[in-house]
Order: sequence, then C-alpha cells, then structure tokens
Amino acid sequence: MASSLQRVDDLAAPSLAKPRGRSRLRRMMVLARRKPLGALGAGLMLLLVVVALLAPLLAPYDPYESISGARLLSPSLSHPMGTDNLGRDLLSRIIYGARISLMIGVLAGALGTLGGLTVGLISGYAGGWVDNVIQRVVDSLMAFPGLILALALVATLGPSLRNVMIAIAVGAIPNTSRVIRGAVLSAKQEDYVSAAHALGAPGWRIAIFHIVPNVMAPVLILASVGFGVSIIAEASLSFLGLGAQPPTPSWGVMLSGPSRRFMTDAPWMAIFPGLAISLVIFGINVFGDALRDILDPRLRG
Amino acid sequence: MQVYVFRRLLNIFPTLIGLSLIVFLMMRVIPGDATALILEESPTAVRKDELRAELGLDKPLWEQYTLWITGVARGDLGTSFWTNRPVTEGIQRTLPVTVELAAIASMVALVVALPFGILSAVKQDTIWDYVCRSISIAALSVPNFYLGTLVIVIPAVLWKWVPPVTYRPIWEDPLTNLQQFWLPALVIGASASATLMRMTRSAMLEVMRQDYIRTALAKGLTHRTVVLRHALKNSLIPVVTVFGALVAGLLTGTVITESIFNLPGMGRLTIDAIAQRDYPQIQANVLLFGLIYTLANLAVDLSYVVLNPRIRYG
Repeated sequence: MASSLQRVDDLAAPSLAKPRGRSRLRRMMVLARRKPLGALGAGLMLLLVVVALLAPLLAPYDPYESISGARLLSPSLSHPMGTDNLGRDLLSRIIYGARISLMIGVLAGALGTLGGLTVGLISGYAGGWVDNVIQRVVDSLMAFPGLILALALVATLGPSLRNVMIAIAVGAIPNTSRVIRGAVLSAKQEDYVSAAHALGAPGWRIAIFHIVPNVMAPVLILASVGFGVSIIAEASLSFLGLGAQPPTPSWGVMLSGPSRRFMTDAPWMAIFPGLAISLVIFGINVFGDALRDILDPRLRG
Repeated sequence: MQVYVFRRLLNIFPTLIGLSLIVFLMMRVIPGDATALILEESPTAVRKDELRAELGLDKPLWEQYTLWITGVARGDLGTSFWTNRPVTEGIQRTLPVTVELAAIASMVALVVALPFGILSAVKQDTIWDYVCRSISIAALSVPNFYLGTLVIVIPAVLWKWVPPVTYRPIWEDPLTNLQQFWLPALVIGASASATLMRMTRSAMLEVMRQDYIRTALAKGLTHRTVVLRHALKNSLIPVVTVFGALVAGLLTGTVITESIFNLPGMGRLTIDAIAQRDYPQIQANVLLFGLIYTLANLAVDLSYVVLNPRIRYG
C-alpha cells in the first residue's frame, strides 16, 4: 500500500507540479504586463528585501568604520557613492540602511495593521456600547494627523528606534481600525454569518473564522499602505532627531543633523540616501496602487 | 440642513474633550514623571515633593485634569519649563510663521493641482495624462525632508545661493520674508498638490462618464464649456474632502520644513520642546495641532453639505 502510494506520488509529482508552476509564472507575467508599473513596484520592493537580507555580502565596507584619510571623498570606483564627513563609505551605509527601513516597514506596518484589525473587529462585531466607546476613542485619536500623533508619542516615550516603531504602529491603529470596522459591519450582514450563527458557532469563532477571512482585501491594502507609511515616518522622525540615533545608518539619520553642514561641499551625502528612500516609496506607491486595483476594483481611481 | 449643521457642531465637543484627555494622559504617563527631569536640570535644587505640589502633580488625576482644562478654557496653557514664561507666548510668537507657510503652500498646491488634474482627466491616456501622473507619483515618492534638503543643496552647489538665514517677519521686510518662504512653501505644496491632483483627476473622470455630460455634449455645446461649466463644479465636491488630508499634510509638512529652513514656526517650537523635554509646551502645541485639524475636518463636513445639495442629513 505504502509503496504504491509512493509510486503514484512519484508519477504524479513531475506531471502535476510543472504545469502548475508554469501557469503561476504565466499568470504573474500576464499581471505584470497588465500592470507594468505595479510590477516595477514589486521589483523595487523585492530589491529592498534582497539588499536588506544580503547587506553583509553586498556592502563593500563596514557601515560604521571610519576609513582614515577618506573624509568627504566624491564618488569614485572604490567608493561608488562617496564617503561622508567621518570617512564612512556611503554605499555601505545605504545598504545597511535598507535593513532598518525594511524592519520598520514590516514590524511597525504589521503591528499597526494587526492592532487595527483587532480593534476594528471587536468594535464592528461586538456593536452596541462597546462599539460606541471604542469609536469615540478612535475619533479623538483621529483628531491628530498621523505624524503629529507619532511625534507626541515619541516625546513621551523618548527618542529611539524601538519607540519610533511603537509610535508609528499606534499612530496607524485609529485609521486602520476605522476602515476594518466598516468592512466587518458589512461582512456581518452576510448570510454565511447568520448560517454560522444558526449552527450555534460561538461569537469569537464567527469573528475569527468567518469574518476575518472576508475582510482580508482591505487588510492587505492597509498593510501595504502601512508598510510604506511606516518607512516614511521612521525616516522623517529620524531626520528630526527623534528616531534612530547616529551612528545608526538609518536613511533619515544620514540626511539629518550634523551631516547637513557638509552637504554643500559633499552633495552626494544628501543625494544618495534620499534617492534610496524615494525609490522605495515610489515602489510601494505604485505596487499599492496596482494591488488596490486588483483586490478591490471599486476603489479604483 | 440646519439641523445637521447644528448636530455636527454639537458633536465637536465630545471629540474636543477626547482630544484634551489624550493629550493630558499622554503627558502623565511619561516614564518617571517630569519632576525628576526638572530637578536634574534645575540649578536651585528644590525638594521633589515641593515641586510636585507646585506643579499640582500631588493631586488626584481627575482634579489635575479639571484644573488643566479650566485653565485651557481661560487661555492659560501652562508655563514653559524651559523659558519659565507662559507657553502661549511661544505659540503667539511662532504661529504667524506657520500660518504664512501653510497659506502659501496651499496656494501652490491649488494652483498646480487643479489645472493639471483637469488636464490629466480631459486628455485621459494621452501623453499629457502620463506626464501629469508620472510627476504626481514622483512628487508623492519624494519625502518632503529630502526635497527640502535638495532645494537647499542644489542651488548652493550650482549657484552658491542660499535662502536668507535670519527670519524676518513679512510686515517688516516683505522681500526677504518671501525669499525665505517660497522654497519651503514649494516643498510642502509639491506633495500636497500631488495628492490633490490625483483626486481631481479621478473625480473629473467619474463626472465625465455621467449621462448629463453626454447630454450636454450631444446638445452641441463645446467641449470647453462642458468641462468648465458642467463637469468642474460637480467634480470639485469629492476634491473638497481631501482638504482635511491636505491640512494634515500642511501641519506635518511645516514641522519638517521649518526645521530644514530654520523658520521659527510652531513646528520648530514643537521639535525644540521635545528635545528640551518642555512638556507644557509640547502639550499645548499638540493640543493646538489637534484642534486645527479637528476644525478643518468640521469645515470639510459642513462645506460638503453646502456644495452637494443632493446629500441630506436628517
């Protein structure tokens, strides 16, 4: 019995797996042709991930090491993006900076989305006074622009990369939860929810197994937005001196404070870190647009 | 409509109370309260419990809040830890700078966004459309602290030109003042106009698909008349709703650009206060930012009703 199963598997594996792989690839190719900008965005985001993961292999120098006699060198073959005022290789610092951006984007984005999903789900599914209380708190939190809320949070928590991450995630929760609450409210009206209810499923079960999967489209869109917003917010706060602190090679830090005095003599110190941020944000924007078109055609603009 | 306006105006009070509660609590959960910090900095060492009593921190939380909020209602927002002067003085000094910056920036945003948004929609899928959209995506992708850095660095490198460094109020020296303001306003306006342009474009496209536009064109009206008289008015309604987001962008934009361009506005004041741990000042500024944003959103909601008579609120 076992051996015959084995044999069937052996036979089935190559014949099934190959076309499936090919068709998935073909589907992606079709999508990429229909949404070339979205594909470019996906490519840029993939590049960010690869650079961040392979940073130690890709970086020609240690991002923290001051190379003696190499202060403010203009871009050359040995330092393609030049060096900064402390003689550190800019390319290496930007490559390591990708790690910080990716980490913040993923962690703060995920934390904010998850928090928003939890709050929105509880508020929307519970309804009644629970919903009312939560929504009034959300109202008050939404009375602040996101970055100002994050700024105030960092002011109380103290400036550090970890606190910036918390501040960004908390700052994202009000808006995210509001959108998800709306999606939960409409999913709650569906027949399958009534059916599950009639079958005697407990409330938490309906919420988690029936409603959550059906609000995944807005959750994914919000997560992609949150990823981008978090990266910009970290760079902005670090730029203002409230996030990552020098010598951390955060792209925001590289554009901020002490290095600004040298930028007119060494413009590459300003141009390259900003270019890295802009490319990543551009990728996220166009990828997010394409994702929104594909997942939720009603939101198309 | 009057009922709706009245209800919406009444509704603002719970939001304002919530807003003040959040600001209040945020400053009270500072790890190891503010007195420790003051004592550390203060040359004349007082006793901690005396200081706590002086700042009112020994009272129960609800009493502290009541004291603070009645003070706020009377215009007393507290005393700065740093300057020992009322925090409202700092705000009075810096608010005109921020208001001027935001005003010029929103003008830039509107002047750029509306015509190009309309152009992009009317000439959909032509080279005009692609150019406008590409520029708007690019503008959205460049964070304003980078754009701000570039507009300082590039002219300095190429033409050895830097904007005047010491701030001059517009009523004293309008020329120097505008030289200082046009670049930061352009920086804030760039990202704001990108959002606004995308919104204008999609709203315009939506309206151009409506039956009455087809009817107007079928009547033999010129394309120009139809776009300007029929479509534009109706497409501006959704555009008004981004005004709230625009104000948010302006507020955060001023925080960042004031730091870059060395302008003594509310944003700079806030950042400095955070660096100096001047909690009363932070508290007051954050409260004011929240208040401005809330009022802007109220204005959006109200104007929406006025602009779109089809919407009736009971």
